[in-house]
Order: sequence, then C-alpha cells, then structure tokens
Amino acid sequence: MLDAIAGNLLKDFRIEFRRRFALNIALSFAAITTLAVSLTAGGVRLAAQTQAMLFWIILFFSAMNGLAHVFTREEEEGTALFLRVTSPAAAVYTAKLLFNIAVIFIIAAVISPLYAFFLNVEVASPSAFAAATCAGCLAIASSTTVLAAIVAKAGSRGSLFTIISFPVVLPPLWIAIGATRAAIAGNTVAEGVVFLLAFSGALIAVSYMLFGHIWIEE
Amino acid sequence: MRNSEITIRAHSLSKRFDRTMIFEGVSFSLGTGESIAVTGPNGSGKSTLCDIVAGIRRPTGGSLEYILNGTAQSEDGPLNAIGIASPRVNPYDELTGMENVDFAARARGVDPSTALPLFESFGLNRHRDKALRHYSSGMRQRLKLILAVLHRPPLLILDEPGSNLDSDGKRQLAGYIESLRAHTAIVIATNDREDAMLCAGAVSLA
Repeated sequence: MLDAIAGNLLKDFRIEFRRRFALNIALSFAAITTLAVSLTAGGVRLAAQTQAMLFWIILFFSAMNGLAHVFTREEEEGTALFLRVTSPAAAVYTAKLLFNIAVIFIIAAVISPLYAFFLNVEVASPSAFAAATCAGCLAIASSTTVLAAIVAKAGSRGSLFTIISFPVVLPPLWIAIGATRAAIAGNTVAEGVVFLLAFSGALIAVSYMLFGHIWIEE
Repeated sequence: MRNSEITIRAHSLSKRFDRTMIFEGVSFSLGTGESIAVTGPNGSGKSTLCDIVAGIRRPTGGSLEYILNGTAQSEDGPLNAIGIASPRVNPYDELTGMENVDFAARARGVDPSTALPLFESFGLNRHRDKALRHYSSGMRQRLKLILAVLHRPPLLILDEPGSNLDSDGKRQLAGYIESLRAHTAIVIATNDREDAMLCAGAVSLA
C-alpha cells in the first residue's frame, strides 16, 4: 500500500513539475489578487479582521483551481481508468490528498509574505499565524479532495467545484479567519486550530471510507 | 501473481445506461488456461463487459464471482490479479514509457525492471525513455499491452488488442498470447477475426 501511495504521489509530482498547471495558475491568481487588493487599499492599514478575511479569500480562490485539477485532469485526459486498474482506491485517495496538501501549503507559503508585504500587515504572533494558516490549509485540502473526485465525473467541472466546495469549506474558513485575526492581534489561536484539525481528521476519515464507492464507475 | 489459478463466473450480467439496456443475461465461466472472445456489433457493450469483468465498472444486474487460488474474492475484482489493455485505459502522456511502467509496477508491488524484457518483446526498447505524447498510436498500443501483462496477471482482458498494430506487432502479440495461454485466463473483445481466432470460446453480444 505504501509503495502504491508513493508511486501515485511521485507520478502526480512528475506530471505537475512538467506541466506546472496547478501551481502556475494558483500563484499567478494569488499574486494578481494580492496586488489588486493592495492597490485598492491604497496604503491604508486595514483592521485585523479585514486583513484576515482578505487573506483567506485570496488563498481559497487561488487554491480552488489547482485542488480540483488533481482529479479533473485524470477524467479529462482519459487516464482515470488506468489509475483505477493499477492502484487501490485507498492509495489513490491518500496520494491525491497528500498532493493537494502540498499544493495548498506551497500556495500559502508564497501568498503569506506577499500579502504581509503588500498590505502592510504586522503579525503580533508569527508562530500562531503559521499554525492557523497550516491548520486552515489542511482543512481546505481535506474537504476539497473528495469533492474534486465527485465533481470530476460531472460536466462544467471547474465552476461546479468552487460552488459545491463553498458550503463545505465555509465553517473551517470562518474559523481560520478568526484564528488568523487572533494571531495578527497577538491573541491565542489554540481553540481555532484544534477545531480545524478535528474537522480535517473527521473529513479525511469519512472520505477514506467512502472513496471506493465514488471511484468505481456505475 | 505468477502461478495463480483463477476462475471467473459471470451470472446473468446486464448493463443499462440511463434508459438504454446495453446487454442482459450474459453468463460465462472462464478458468486458467481458457480463453474467450467477446464479439458483437458496435455499441453492443463489448468494452463495457470488459470493464465490468476488470472490476472498474459495476453491472446493473447479475453478479461476478472471482475465485483466486480457491478463495472467493470481492465483487469489485482482485485488482492485482487482473491485467487490462483497452482503448479507454490510457497511460500518462507527460510520462515516458518507462515512467508509466515504473508507476504501474510500484502501484502493483512489482519490480519495474521486470518490464525490460517486455519492452524488448514488444519492440519498444528504443522508445522507452520517450514521453508518450511522442508515441505513435501503434507504440501506445504496445505500451498498453506491456502495462497489462507487467504483473503476470492470471486474468488478462484485451479490448481490441490488434487495433493500431502493424503486421509485426500483431505477430508479436499473437506469439505473446500463445506463451501466456497455459497459465492465464484470457478475454479478448474484438470484431477482428484474427484476434478472435486466438480464443477457444466465444461470448456473442447481440
């Protein structure tokens, strides 16, 4: 099983490295949006709540396309059946989840300093900010991976993915915004981080159990 | 999976897409050392039946039994006991032939170096480090056949195996199937007489 997960992960990174689709689109979107927000703010320092909210809106919409792509690419290019006949469903789900976690972490690692620089954000507790960002990213990746697998089988995949994901991602997004605001203001983020980790754990467990039913075609 | 014995029993399989019944009442039994050709006109469900037997699609009705070395397996099919080459099962264009093999081998717990003689047998040795997007359709078909037999599956499903192959490729394929015959159960979906002649039995879909 570990070999199958490693093989799938290596394959996904090789393809992404050669095409750079998910990361290129996400990082370009993130850079343009951050710059646009910065120009709109016109150098005025925003309130911590607004800063946290804008940070997560940029991160969420930047990541959406890349996160969906991990499954939609397999269906669009006709490689999904090859994947089905070679790898157990559990290995496919685990590898795609790990890939999506890596993608959103890279996006967050690029956006965070850009955002802090262009929007003149001073974070009172950088370690709390990092913890809230990591926990929020994990929650988004864990909820969107299984949704991407479902959406990949439907038409109008790209637009459908963001619409379907939004209600599922809304609760962790709400909590992540609160935790990020607390980190910027120098308050404790423990409660928010614990919620986000628990949310991710529950979603990953349920998705792992249900994935086999989603993965085999009717 | 080498030296595994398999028996597949299909009972009254049917498949419906929306309101269209593709086929119904398909029953057959197949064991190691046996082979069947699935024939029928276009749209009769040959590829769909192959997908169902491979465990990548569920039938609407009926059931499939897989017995591997005397033990009944799950209805979705024992993944590692099945090899399939089909026009709908496409390897990755961005990867080279060898990288596709490496991926499939790792996923199936097989040493990727076991594919090297297969590249030689199927005349693809010179092209194994080329990205698939530079392969011709015949070369792709040869790679699909390598990927199907890489793990020495006791059940081999070939959907239109001769498509896109030149006469040399067809000869190599026939020779390779002949060498597998004694220890493999083989299903070939085809309308090509030459391909169908490789099999002892037949399932005809109307």
